[in-house]
Amino acid sequence: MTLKINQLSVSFGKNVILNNMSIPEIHPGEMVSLIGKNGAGKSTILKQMTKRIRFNPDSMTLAGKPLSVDDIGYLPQDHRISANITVIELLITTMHVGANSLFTKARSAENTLTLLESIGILHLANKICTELSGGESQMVGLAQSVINQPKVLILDEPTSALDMHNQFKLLEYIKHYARTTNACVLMVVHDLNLAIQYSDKVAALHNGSLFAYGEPKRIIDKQLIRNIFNVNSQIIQLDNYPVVVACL
Amino acid sequence: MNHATYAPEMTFREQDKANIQQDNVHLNEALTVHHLRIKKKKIALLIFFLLSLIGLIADILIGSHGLTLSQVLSGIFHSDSSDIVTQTIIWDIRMPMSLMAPFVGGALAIAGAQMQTTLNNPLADPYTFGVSASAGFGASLVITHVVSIPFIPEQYQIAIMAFVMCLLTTFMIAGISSIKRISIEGVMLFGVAIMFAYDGMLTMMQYIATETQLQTLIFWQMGSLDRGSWEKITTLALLLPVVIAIMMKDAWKLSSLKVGQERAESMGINVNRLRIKTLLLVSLITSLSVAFVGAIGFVGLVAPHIARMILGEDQRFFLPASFLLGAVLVELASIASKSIMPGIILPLTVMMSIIGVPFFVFLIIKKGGRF
Repeated sequence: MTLKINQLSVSFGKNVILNNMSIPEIHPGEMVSLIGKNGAGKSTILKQMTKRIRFNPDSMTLAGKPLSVDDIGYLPQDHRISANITVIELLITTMHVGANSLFTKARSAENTLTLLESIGILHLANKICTELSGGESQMVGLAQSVINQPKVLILDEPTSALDMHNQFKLLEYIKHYARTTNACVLMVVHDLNLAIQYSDKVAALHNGSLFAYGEPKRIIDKQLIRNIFNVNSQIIQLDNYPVVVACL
Repeated sequence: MNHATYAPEMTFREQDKANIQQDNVHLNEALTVHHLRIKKKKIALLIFFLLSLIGLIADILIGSHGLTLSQVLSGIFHSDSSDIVTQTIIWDIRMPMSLMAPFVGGALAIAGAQMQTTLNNPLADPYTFGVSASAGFGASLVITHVVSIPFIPEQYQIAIMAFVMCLLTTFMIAGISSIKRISIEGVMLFGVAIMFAYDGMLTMMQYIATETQLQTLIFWQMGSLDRGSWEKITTLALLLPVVIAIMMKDAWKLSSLKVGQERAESMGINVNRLRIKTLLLVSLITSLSVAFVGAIGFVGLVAPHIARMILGEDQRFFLPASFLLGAVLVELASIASKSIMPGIILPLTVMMSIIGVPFFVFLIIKKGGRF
């Protein structure tokens, strides 16, 4: 089930955000990071993908068919949940959004807890959502985005509120999810080192267009960073991994 | 830095499993806590139901003509054995009044609960947002004969005009709420402005009204259950279950609205359609309640907040709990309105304001003015 983004254009008045932008096919189980400076159009692509109704349905397809919100799991940038319900209740609610019956599906609480355990946040199960910290809320947001086993996982800056430990915990889980369910993952990541480490492909955006696309080790170099971020940098090779160090 | 720290592979997952064991948080424990919470919610619903039943019986019992519990019960269940005076008091005076309380209280409470959910505003309530005032103004147009709908009895004309005005106001507020740069407080102030506007127009109506019309208009603003009738009770008893059933069918979706519009849309929820549908139902039940008994303030604010504090915002429990607590509140207000000054029934709005205004202030102080 390959995901395609074809000739996507978005503009607000005269302000062009995305200019006929296409991204090469994203294959099942693949993790693709969108990188680029603020205002490059990264979040706009994700927001277009999560729209219930699109102006041009063929601009985004999954296995040749227009991408539907039913195929998507989404973790937005603004991940705070203002509901006075427990984490487990939130996830059970997400599980039943399309259901007509008020009764929960069999073993829904057990399945929810198993998911929380596999992400490593079982201890949050009975906590009220409004009492979660920013990082906890983001981890719960991840659980919410995968609870219905989507074929496409869309994450907007998923590690923005997380400490180093939880950044790896979250990305490890996403990698595990992509590999085991063959889902396509598209995420906006600002930390280039995390993008290098956890992406199969990187799409570098610049001024609403795709500037470069490919394996992170191949395309992320001093020149690219200079071109899209206007920052001088050094790339250090460490255990066969390139590490980006900004030079001030 | 070695490779293991740089590319953690399963290290973190294993580490977290160890942490979970360390914290002694076990899956079964979490499941037990969850099941216990659900059980407590069901028990709370049962208690609210029993309280509303007790409140109803107490409300029927209390009145200027002293009747004992056995007289009331035999009057209700064995009316043949009661004398004609007792029967008239119970069936024609007290029952229509007392039965209006749970229906109207419940209706206004779920109207407030759904306004708070769909507008994502904890201060929303038909009264504080001027929706009740708009219904009162709609009614005043018919009472003063400024507007009249041909071939329809006046009682229903009042309900229709109240509904139309409610609808207009609710959607005006929904429109303002959908403008992103207007904060929750801003929408609240807009509601206050609407309330003032309708109050002004209502005063205008009073000014042009005849003496008899004026009496009816003032009565409207006060809110009183003694306008209750079996016909009105039947209308509400038929309509409310349908409205609640439609809202309950959307319970999962309504609960999900709290995660934010963008995310709710990504879950496949047509947020705008859900909001319009729910606000239509809110308008319908608010307008009927106001048309039948006049404006009763703060029920829609207080009842959902108590329900939220006790049961949380899972709509499957939140909605019935709001209804039952709304019923209990208006029953208590009705009892108080008859008990404070024997022989005189005080306006319900006065009684509800005694509870509602401090609660409203408490909410603002508790949240530090931030929502």
